[in-house]
Amino acid sequence: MSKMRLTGAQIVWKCLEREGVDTVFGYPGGCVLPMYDALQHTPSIHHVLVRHEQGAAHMADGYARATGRVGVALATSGPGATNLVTGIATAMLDSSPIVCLTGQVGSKFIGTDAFQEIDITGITMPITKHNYMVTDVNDIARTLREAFIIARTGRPGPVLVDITKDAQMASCDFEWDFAMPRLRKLETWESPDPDQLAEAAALINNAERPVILAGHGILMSGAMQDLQLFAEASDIPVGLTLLGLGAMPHFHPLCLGMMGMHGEAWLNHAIQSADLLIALGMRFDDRVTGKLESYAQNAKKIHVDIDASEIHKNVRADVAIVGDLKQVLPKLTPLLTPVKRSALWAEINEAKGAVAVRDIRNLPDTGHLYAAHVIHDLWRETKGKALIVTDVGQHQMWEAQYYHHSEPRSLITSGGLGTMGFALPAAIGAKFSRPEADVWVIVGDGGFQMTMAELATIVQENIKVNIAIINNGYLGMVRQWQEFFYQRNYAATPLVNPDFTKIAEAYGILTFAVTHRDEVAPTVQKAREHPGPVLIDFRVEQEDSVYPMVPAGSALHEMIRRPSAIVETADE
Amino acid sequence: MNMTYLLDVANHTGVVTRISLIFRRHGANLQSLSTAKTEHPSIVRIVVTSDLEGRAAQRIKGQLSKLIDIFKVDMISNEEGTFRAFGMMKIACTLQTRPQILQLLEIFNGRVLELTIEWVLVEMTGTPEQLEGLLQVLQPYGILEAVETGPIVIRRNSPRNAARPQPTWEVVPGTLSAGTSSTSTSTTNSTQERKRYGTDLL
Repeated sequence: MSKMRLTGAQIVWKCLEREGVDTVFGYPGGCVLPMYDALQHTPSIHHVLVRHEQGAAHMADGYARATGRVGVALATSGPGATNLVTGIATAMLDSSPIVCLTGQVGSKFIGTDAFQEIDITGITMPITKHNYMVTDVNDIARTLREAFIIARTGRPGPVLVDITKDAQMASCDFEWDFAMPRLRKLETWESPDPDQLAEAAALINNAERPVILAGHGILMSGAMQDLQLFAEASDIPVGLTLLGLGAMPHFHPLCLGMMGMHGEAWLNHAIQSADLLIALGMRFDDRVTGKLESYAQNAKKIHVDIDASEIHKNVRADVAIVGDLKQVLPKLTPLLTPVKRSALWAEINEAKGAVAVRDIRNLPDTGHLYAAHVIHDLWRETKGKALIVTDVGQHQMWEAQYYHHSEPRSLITSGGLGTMGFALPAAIGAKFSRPEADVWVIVGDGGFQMTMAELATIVQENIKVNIAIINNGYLGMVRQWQEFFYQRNYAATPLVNPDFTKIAEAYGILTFAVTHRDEVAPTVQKAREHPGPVLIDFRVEQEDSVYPMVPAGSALHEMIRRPSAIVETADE
Repeated sequence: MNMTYLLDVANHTGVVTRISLIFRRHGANLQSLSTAKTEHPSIVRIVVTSDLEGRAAQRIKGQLSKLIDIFKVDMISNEEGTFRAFGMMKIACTLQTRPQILQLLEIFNGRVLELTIEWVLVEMTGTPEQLEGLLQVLQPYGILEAVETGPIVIRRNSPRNAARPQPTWEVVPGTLSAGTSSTSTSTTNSTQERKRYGTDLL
């Protein structure tokens, strides 16, 4: 590309184009007006006007998680920038590669408390992988290139670039090839240390009761195949974290489902009685380990992660390999001795059988609509192929338990930060990232109301996103904690809800309300056939709880199990 | 015991804030923080001592290492480095005590900066312990004012200059552009794209 004289605002769009960005989620305002003015000359980038900047950040996040490509959000200075904060933190905790662009007041006004001036780089320092403030037009191109590299390299994460209005308006010569990023040398994850690999293999080959704990890292690294081959090589059971769902097909014989606080009982028991844990791209979050002091006490631990600071952070590893799973696993698998672990599997399968009897799907149909029914039937109707975006709370756990994910990147959810209001905007972003996907939002009645303004974005962009509200009239997960640990003191958890079908109708969205189980499947079918967006209000049992549950601070095997009289209790 | 962190960082705005945020997040109290120029203009040596020990101190080290502006993080003990701090003390003195003070100063390798009939201003360079020692012996004469910098450190065992991070700015090839092809990138492709990006860069 030859040299061109461009304004800072034009340079921003040129750089985004060169970085392969096709969609930007944003909201205009005074300090980004130059950028919006220059947008018209960039036909290859589609701008999605959101209704709240938090939505823009979540959309960029959803966009990134659906494919792994960097998502971009754009907001103005001051309140525009601060509204991004929750979305940035969500992306940070779940290692999602996004770049947030914010406008800033002119450099002459910085530090004067000018109108809509806020120190957004200061605010976002702890919640970004890195951030920049750019005051000189000559720095814009290089900074943006660095931002994209940082966002997607190694352990991905959010990067914020704050550009002053005068830098956007000034002009300079722009030449992509000369705007070289200057970053410190980043580590390579090419070749794991052979000694460590040998040590890890020795531990695995000598283990009687190993369990693999596979996390988000498998998906981000694209190591799904490698994980399967690795587990199959030595007949090792695989447990998944919430964000790891889809890393291994749910019905793969070695896959035990989700672990942790609301994980499968047989898996949590297998972990607690393991003599070796092989942690792959996961970070021993407290929701996964329960009480650390009593976590898998007899197990040695192998920890493979791309982020060196995760090693020994929560759980001390006996063998630690810092590396990219896509590089590490193929080198580790050939070192394993093929074995059949029949005794271990007999034990696990027995535990599985005992639990299945208590499964809510197997309870007699008494006309009650349970969230588990909704999600199970949705899974059947979509043949497990949908791209599901969940919010945070009970429905999120039910989805994880009853929607059997077999495809990578088929579940997008806020795991680390647990951001209510995430689902709807994230699903919009995901749809732009994978337009061919059958995108379903599963969201509670509480979380939906946090960001439901984005319904307008769906209609405005005319995108096909299906919304399933699991409506129980409560902030359900909090209510569940109040039921279990606060003597049913339902303080501030009952919700007075609007009629969600009428709200969606007002936006011109097709709606259904479902109250009985036999209506679930046909309604899902109708929704899928409809060419436009659909909202379904599933009015489910109000005081249903998620089982099993490991109370916070308890050991992983100390689970609260589903009371057998659940149907009767629900009648009360 | 205090932990000492030796940081080689880029000479960028805000880098001290980024560092102190990580300590603050862990509730660590910074005992001292000193920044010093190095022989390379784009690298600054920051020495931080904090009161956190054990796992938390290790966690801080890991999280510091992740900062984009940091080249190298070391945690070192007193034996592993040469520590030097600088102190200035203004001591009350009379005609009678003056010779005693000057004598003490000589023992501690201190130096007189200014001398009046009522006070003497001294300076001293040494380990934080030596500075503390001088302060203690001067205490009885009356300390009017005393200030001390945090230590700066040179590693004792740096294997010649090899360990010294040379300006590690990486110039990244200019032809990279991920995801330009189409919007319907399949999952596998996009992951490969990301990977290719990662490796090209490195």
